[in-house]
Amino acid sequence: MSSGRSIVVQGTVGKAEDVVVFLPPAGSITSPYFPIGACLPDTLPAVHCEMPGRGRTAGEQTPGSVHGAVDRWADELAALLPGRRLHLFGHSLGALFAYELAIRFEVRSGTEAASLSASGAREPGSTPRSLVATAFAALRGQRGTTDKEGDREGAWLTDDLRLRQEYVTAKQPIRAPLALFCGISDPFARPAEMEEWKRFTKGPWLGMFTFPGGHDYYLSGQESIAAEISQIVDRSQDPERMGVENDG
Amino acid sequence: MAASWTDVRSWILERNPELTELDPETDIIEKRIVDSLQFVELVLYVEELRGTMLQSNEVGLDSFRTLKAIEKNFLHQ
Repeated sequence: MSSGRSIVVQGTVGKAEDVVVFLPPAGSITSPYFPIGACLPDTLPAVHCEMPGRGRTAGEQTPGSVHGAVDRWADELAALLPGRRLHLFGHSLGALFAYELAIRFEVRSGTEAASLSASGAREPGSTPRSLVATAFAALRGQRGTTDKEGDREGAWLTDDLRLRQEYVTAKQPIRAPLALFCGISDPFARPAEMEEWKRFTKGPWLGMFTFPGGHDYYLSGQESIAAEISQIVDRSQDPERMGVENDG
Repeated sequence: MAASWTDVRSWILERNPELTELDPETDIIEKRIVDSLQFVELVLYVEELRGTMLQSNEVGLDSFRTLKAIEKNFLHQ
């Protein structure tokens, strides 16, 4: 495993044409997707975008917005993976990062956003639920003062919830094929709610993939998730298997 | 049938396989039976059980400390 500034490479990129790019959920320090990446075929490398300013990049400037973080990753990915087809996977806040990253790569030449897999998040531009931030703040008010480790991690989550609250998007449709991933009992984003994402791409619809569990479904069953991502990459290489026309 | 504290207990046990039982008066916050993410999910789940949206001023920790408190504050109204 090797790392750039805010990018960690898992596997060997070498001459691989397709690369899976994981975008982090709120509050994460080290990418939580390494177990999924480990289940991908050897021929399919993964790169993990990590939020600057925490963990091993603690000395670096923390982005002040979703767009600030995405601009930075876009520059680093373009430099690291020129000409590659990127398959973007993001969970929760990471899904919004992935969408914005797809927009960046669709206006740049060279690196291509070959598919977007949005997981556990309502569509871009949806009103963030203030109840989530309120509930977390209530818990942090008690635990934050008694648990230093928890306090630091809680601070990252608080920062990222603020990014989500302040996030504004032009709601621009992208061209990349779209897949949706969801925990069956995730109260943050129900499968039916996630269908709204279809309005955000003019590309093919690759399907909704549901898994047992709630919002953190992706922390288990990594083999199944990796298998679906691998299928998405395979289908994207064959236009006849790409997917159905998007009716969103 | 109206939701009760046993629905909430089932929800918590499902997410914590190492737990086999949960007393309705156990302080799930103090005992750290739910972590931060689960607490937020729990609030959303209670909202779903109740069938009406929770207001931010209803989300005090004390209202969620025990299964019985959750039932009293949100499910039997």
